[in-house]
Order: sequence, then C-alpha cells, then structure tokens
Amino acid sequence: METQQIAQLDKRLLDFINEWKGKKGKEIMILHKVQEIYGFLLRALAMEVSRLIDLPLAKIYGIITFYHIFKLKKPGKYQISVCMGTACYLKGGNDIISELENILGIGVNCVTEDGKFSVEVVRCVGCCGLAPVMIIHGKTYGNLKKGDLPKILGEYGESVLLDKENHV
Amino acid sequence: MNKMKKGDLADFRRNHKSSHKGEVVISMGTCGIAAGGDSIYKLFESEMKEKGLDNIQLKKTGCLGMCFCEPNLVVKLDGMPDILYGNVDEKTAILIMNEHLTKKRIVNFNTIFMPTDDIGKKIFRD
Amino acid sequence: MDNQYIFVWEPDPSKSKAVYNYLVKKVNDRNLGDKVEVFKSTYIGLTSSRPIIRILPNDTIYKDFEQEDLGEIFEAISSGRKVNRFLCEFESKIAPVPEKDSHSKQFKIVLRNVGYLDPENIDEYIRRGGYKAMEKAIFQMKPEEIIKEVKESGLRGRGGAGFSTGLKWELTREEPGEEKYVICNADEGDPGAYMDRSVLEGDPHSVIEGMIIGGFAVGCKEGFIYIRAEYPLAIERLEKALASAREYGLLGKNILGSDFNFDIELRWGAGAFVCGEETALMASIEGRRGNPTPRPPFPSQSGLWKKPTFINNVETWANIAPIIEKGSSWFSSIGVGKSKGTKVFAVTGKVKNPGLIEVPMGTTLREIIYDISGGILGDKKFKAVQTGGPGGGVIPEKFLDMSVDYETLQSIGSMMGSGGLIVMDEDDCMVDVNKFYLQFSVDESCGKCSPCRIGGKQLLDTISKITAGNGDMKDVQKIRNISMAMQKASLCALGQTTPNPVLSALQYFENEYIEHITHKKCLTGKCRDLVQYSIIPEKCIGCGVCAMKCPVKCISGEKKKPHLIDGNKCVKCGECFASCKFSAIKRS
Ligand SMILES: Cc1cc2nc3c(=O)[nH]c(=O)nc-3n(C[C@H](O)[C@H](O)[C@H](O)COP(=O)(O)O)c2cc1C
Ligand code: SF4
Ligand code: SF4
Ligand code: SF4
Ligand code: FES
Repeated sequence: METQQIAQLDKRLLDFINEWKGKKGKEIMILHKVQEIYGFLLRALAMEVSRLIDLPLAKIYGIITFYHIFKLKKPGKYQISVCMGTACYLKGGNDIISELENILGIGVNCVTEDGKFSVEVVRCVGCCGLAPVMIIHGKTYGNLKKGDLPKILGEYGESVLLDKENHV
Repeated sequence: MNKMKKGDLADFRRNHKSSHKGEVVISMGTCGIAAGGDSIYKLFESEMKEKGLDNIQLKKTGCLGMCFCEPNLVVKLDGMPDILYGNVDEKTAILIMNEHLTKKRIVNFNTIFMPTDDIGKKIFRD
Repeated sequence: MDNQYIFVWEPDPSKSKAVYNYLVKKVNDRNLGDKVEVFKSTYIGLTSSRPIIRILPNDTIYKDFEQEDLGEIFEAISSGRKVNRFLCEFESKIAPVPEKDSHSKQFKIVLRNVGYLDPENIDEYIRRGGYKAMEKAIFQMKPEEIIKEVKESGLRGRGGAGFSTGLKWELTREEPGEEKYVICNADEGDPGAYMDRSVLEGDPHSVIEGMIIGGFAVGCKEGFIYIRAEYPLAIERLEKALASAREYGLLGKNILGSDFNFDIELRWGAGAFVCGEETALMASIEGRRGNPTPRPPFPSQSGLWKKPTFINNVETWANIAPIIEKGSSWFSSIGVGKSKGTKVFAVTGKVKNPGLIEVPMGTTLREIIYDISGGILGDKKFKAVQTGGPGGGVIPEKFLDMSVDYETLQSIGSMMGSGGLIVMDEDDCMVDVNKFYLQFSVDESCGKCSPCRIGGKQLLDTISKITAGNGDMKDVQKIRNISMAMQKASLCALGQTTPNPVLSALQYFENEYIEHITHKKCLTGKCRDLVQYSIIPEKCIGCGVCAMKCPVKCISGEKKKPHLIDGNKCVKCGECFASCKFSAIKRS
C-alpha cells in the first residue's frame, strides 16, 4: 500500500523533496510545492510528505490549518480570488463578490457544481492602485466594474453564464 | 561569466556601456502587467523588429509608481526629452512607434512626466 | 535655440483646455510650429488646483499664473527667457542635499532604480553603480565602521516599529557565537500597501546588496528573505537576481575574491498576516505555526534556530547601499527630527492619482495627497487618511499640515507603519471602516493569547451591533475598556494595536459613532441596516433607469409615472440612488 502511494507521487514533488530534504526551513516550502502540483492538500499526500521528511502528521496538519493559503478542499478548476484589502474594500470589492454570487450562484469559499470555478477572498495582492482587483487562474484584473464580470468569465469559456444572463 | 574580483565591477561599468541610441522602457510590475503591460511589450517587440528599429532598446522595468495611468512606458531618445506615456493601448503604441521612435515627433496623446528626476544616477555617480 | 517642448497640465481637461488652446494658437499665429511644440499632459509630476506648464529641454515649471499672463510666458519661452514670478522651484528644507529634485516634492532613494532599470538584468544594476557600496564595505571598511555609519545615519526600521537599524545590527554583532542569521522581512501583510512589492519587483538587487552589507557587518554567512507567496512575480525576479549575483561572484563563496562567504535564500510565507511579526516570522521559517513568542529573549539573542538573528524590512534594506556610498551625514541631512531619510508610501483609496511615492520625512500629508497624488477623486470632500494599516489610526483634516514622521504620527494616535496611506472621502463611513479593520485583525489573530483572541471578537461584535442599529451609548465605554485591556495584555503588537483604528475614530469622529448609536443613521449609506431608500413621487419622472439598475428588481412603476421601491425586497445596494439623474431617490 505504502509503496503504491509513493509510486503515485508526482515526480516533480519527489525531486523537490529530495532537493530540499537537508535544507533548513523546508517544511512550508514543500507543502507549497504539494499544493502547486495537486491544487490542494489531500490527506494521503500529507501522510506521504510526513513519512518522507520525517515530520509527524499532526505537525503537518498544525501548519496546514494555521496558514490561510493551504487548502484542504479541492478548489475549482479556475480559482477566483477577489481582493478585500483596504483599498479594494473602499472601492467596492464587496460589490464584486455579490455580483459573482449573482452570476455563478456561489458564495465565498464555494465551488460551482461543475467544479469549474471557486471563489475566495484574499487580502491585498499588491495592486491597490488598480482597486478593485481580482485574480483568476493567476491573471490579475484591475479597475473592475460589475459589468465587466460576464465578459471576463467568458474568457474562461463560461457559456452557461451567458445563458443565465439571458434568463434574467 | 567568470566570477568577479575586486575592481572588476568598476571595469565592467567602464567597458559595458549601452550602444543603443535610445530606449523604450515599459512598466511591468504586477500592476503594470495586470493593466495590460505585457501585451504592449509584445506588441513593441514584434513591431520594432518589423520596422527595423533595432538601435532602440526595448526593456521592462518595475512599477514607476504611476498606477493611475497603467500601462505606461518611457521613451528616451538621444537629443530629446524623456517622455512618459500613460494609459497606452495598442493604438497609442503604434503611434508612438511610427511618430516618436521613427520620426522623433512626440505623440500628443497621454503624455506624462517622469514624476521625479533620476536621482539614482546622481547618488552613484562615479 | 533648441526645439522647445511645452507641456500643459490642466486640472480638469474635460472642462477647460484654455491654456493649451491659447498656446497652440500662439504657435500657429507666429508660424513657430517647427520650433515650439505644445502638448497636453495628463500628469506633470505635481498637481494643483490650477494649470501647470512645464517646458523642456531646460525643464522650467510655471504655476499659479493667470490666463492673462500667458502672453508674457509665451514670449519668454520663444525667446529663451524665464518669467521668474511664476517659476516653480522647491527649495526643500527637508532634503537639502545636492541630489535633491527641485522640480518635485518627491525624493527617491529607495526607489532610485525602480522604473529605470530592467530588474531581471544584473548588468544594468551594476552599470548604474550597483554593488559599488558592497565592494566599498567589504574592502575598505571594518564591520564596526559600517555599523557606526548605519547608526549615525539615523536610519530607522521601515517595517513599522521604527527601531534604529544600526543599533539592531550592533546588538546582534555583539552576541557571542559563530552562527548568526540575517533576515529580510518581505511579508508585507498590510492590506492596501505594496511598497515592498514594488521594490522587490523593480530593483531586487538593491535589497540583496543591502543584505550582503548587513551580513558582512554583523558576521553572518546565511540570510533569508521571507516573502509573501501572494507575490509570484517578486519571487521570480528575486530568484533570478540571486542566481545572477551568484554567477557574478557577488554572492556565495569568496565574494569578489575576498574571504567573505555569504548566501541568501528565499522562504515563502503562506498567507498569515501575523507572520510579519518577527518572532512569528522566524517560527514560520522554521516550519512551525506562526505564533509570536514573548520577548525577551530578543531575536538578537535567540532568533532563528535559537541563533542571534536580525530582521529588517525590505525598504530598510534598500536604504543601506546609498548610506554606505554617500555616508551617514549625507543621509541624516535629509528628513526632520529623529526621522531621517525618506519614506515610500502607497497612496490609495479615494485619490485621483493613486500610486507609489517616496518623499523626505517631514513632508506634510497635504503635500502628499494634494500636490503629488492629485487630491480627492471626483472632487469630493476629504474625510480622513489611515496610516499604519490595521494597527494604525485615522487622521482627520485638521492634521493635514502636520509633518509625516515617526514621532508626529504617533502623537496624533496613528503610526508610520509600513507605508500604506489610505485616503477616505465623505462617502466612507468611519464605523464601517473600523468594522473592516477589526474583521481583518480578528481573522488574522493567531489565537494564542486571550486578550487578542477574545477582546478582538468582542470589539467586532460591539461595532457590528452598532452598525446594525442596535447600539447603545454604553457600548462606547465598553469599547474603551476592551481596548485598554487588549493594549496592555496582548502578547504581540497585533493584539496591542488592533484597537487603534477604533480609538482614533472615537477621538476624531465621535459624532459619527453617536449618529449611528442614538439616531440609528449612517449618513454615507455604507451601513446598510441603517438606511432606507425611497422615491420622491414629485421628482420622479418615471424614466425607469433605477428599475433597470436594481439587482433585485424591486422597483416598479409604469413608464412616465412615479416609481415605487419595495422596501421589503430592497437590499440597500444604493444602485438606484447613484443612477437617478433627477435626484428623485432619497436616502434616509
Ligand atoms: C502583526 C505584525 C505584522 C507585521 N508585518 C510586517 C510586515 O509585513 N513587513 C515588515 O517589514 N514588518 C512587519 N512587522 C514589523 C516586524 O515585526 C519588524 O518590526 C520589522 O520587520 C523589523 O524591521 P525594520 O526594523 O527594518 O522595520 C509586523 C509586525 C507585527 C506586529
Ligand atoms: S496578540 Fe493576537 S496575534 Fe499576537 S500572540 Fe496574542 S493572539 Fe496571537
Ligand atoms: S437600493 Fe439597491 S436593492 Fe434597493 S431599490 Fe435601490 S437598487 Fe434596488
Ligand atoms: S431613475 Fe429617478 S426619475 Fe427615473 S424612474 Fe427611477 S426614481 Fe424615477
Ligand atoms: S487592497 Fe486590493 S490589491 Fe491591495
């Protein structure tokens, strides 16, 4: 069973762990790598990592639950991060979230039924000059207006969305 | 590159001067890219090649601090004042290449100023 | 005479281009088109309520002139003279060094290269004088001399607390032991601030050079940059910069052929604001939960892996090379009082030109907001500016002319913080903004100590009660009591400073609290439970615009007849209020 799981581990992750094993301050870096490759931290993965770097599972969970970035649930294919830092809040970040809710039918920290989108809130991505800001799948959108959202989501092939629009 | 030794830095500064007649510097921090800076960069890259403007260096830089007019870029040509253009879209970009880079005529469109002098150059003057 | 380029900036070009039009006409009338060119400029380096003209190549700025004076100014330009009485030159009392920029209220030391060089190309950094200070430090200075220089420069930490950088280095140097660490705090958690990101993305080598000098002075072999994972581009550029510095022999073994070995590695944060606090940051690098620990022991005594460690902020590091290059007296002649040098601010919120600026310490808030950042968006009324992030405070209009430095800001209940400067206008509700900051601090509290964990929650609940219209005057006293307990008993600065925004709002905007509590009103409409929208039938012409805008479709009515809002369905978004062109919608 155990060997089987190692066999499944992504090679990039194994290489990374081997490279970092002897380094100081490797724990969080390795967990970042797991999440980069798998999108979230499956329990089985946490167990593997625990074994490979010889760190108790409880410690790993201690880290994962403390830091906001680590996800225990599978996010959508396209993650939408809406900034709710101060600048974005003042310039209407709330409206962006409620508009996303209107369009996608999901609130913060939820995934659409088809698994395509998930919405989360982040605290300042450093583009405050362009507030309000959101990030989809690594791409940043600034100076957002509610009306821009359908078009932007359209870039991610959201045709369902256009249907929905027509219904309203 | 061989590892540098004491004194090599000064030699490097003496011997590696830029051979270009000017440069186009595009703001490409996270915010500049978010505002479209990278597509403007690509446009300049391909168009400048096409127009044979290879004595002008195209480069990217960090955030100039002018977030309100991103994407922005600076054109520095020998014998002309440095000009910063803000809110550069494709149309302005083409105009800048056709007029400013080619004919040395400043485009009367979204021109802006460098908010400050280049103090860095003064601090580390040789 | 060289070609003359005249750039015209007018405060609201959509309303008036009088200056531009006049000058263009003059040029045409005189047939000077091939010698003098006139341009419209959208920003000219400074802003004002009146037009500004800037003439190149000799870079003359004219301001505060009247339309009638333009003739005289034009004659002067076309004959190569100047009109002295409208000349704008800043004789800066706060940056009297020869390098100062007399055409701008800004002065860029930290941002000296940002926007000028390609951050991914080490050659450009070197060509602009990069690593010169490092070479000088390693070959011409003793570690003690470097520390003395930094100490005497008066440089204080730019990450928040403002502790003397040189002293911190000295304390760490004096600790026994071979193994010591240097850390760069690039966790920039303050929501609404991005100074450090810009430096790391725009000039990573300036931070690296500073750290090498610091490592050499204190006697370290290893350094870490703890950086937010939310800044992927900064991480990428830093990695590239580190790799090229190693390749050039500026980092690693035997730097520049000397016997000094030093290397730097990145460690990523993981989205916890509290990890900006030094003890939590070190716990995080060590691979633990980011809980702060009590001091003493100080990091200089027992830091990373229990070894002597010193931590400085990104901006602090970027100041080091210029100090070594130009000397401590150069640096300490810039600024005021006990605040030397410059400070970078991210000016955001309701200003016309949000952006990143760097000014000498001692510049006033009014100069920053009105002369550099263009004033308030849409010419609304200024209400307050928040400095210091979630642990800072609001500053009302009456203090706009106060100098920005560590001591002054503290004396009016705010703090320098890392450099976020968030401008609020009359449409922002202080109680609502306080709620926002409290929500942030409560979310980010690590939960280790109860004053912060429980006190913060209680504060938030009390304020939420007030914004929901259930407030009671007794709540104000309750807020003060909880705040006092948090300030006194919290373990780290997060808990200690959480109440600051509320306390300062109570001090300067108490009437807004009272309005919410006793009149159950929020004049800005931000606290949705306290507003009602209704249509004034006499004013409504029945155009239907509001009905189209309403997201919940709760406005109805026949065309050309007064419309009606269904108060039960209304979600108080205010869209209708903003969209009605006939002021027929009332907010109360
Ligand atoms: C809750 C909290 C968050 C902090 N966040 C940061 C930060 O994001 N960046 C930073 O440089 N300092 C931050 N600090 C301040 C650091 O603890 C520390 O004072 C600073 O890094 C020291 O560097 P300096 O002396 O150069 O300012 C924070 C402090 C607290 C209490
Ligand atoms: S004050 Fe707050 S953040 Fe700091 S240690 Fe206590 S609970 Fe944690
Ligand atoms: S406030 Fe918003 S929800 Fe209420 S009536 Fe106006 S538009 Fe509709
Ligand atoms: S927008 Fe104003 S005038 Fe038009 S229907 Fe609505 S309330 Fe009446
Ligand atoms: S507050 Fe949204 S990017 Fe900074």
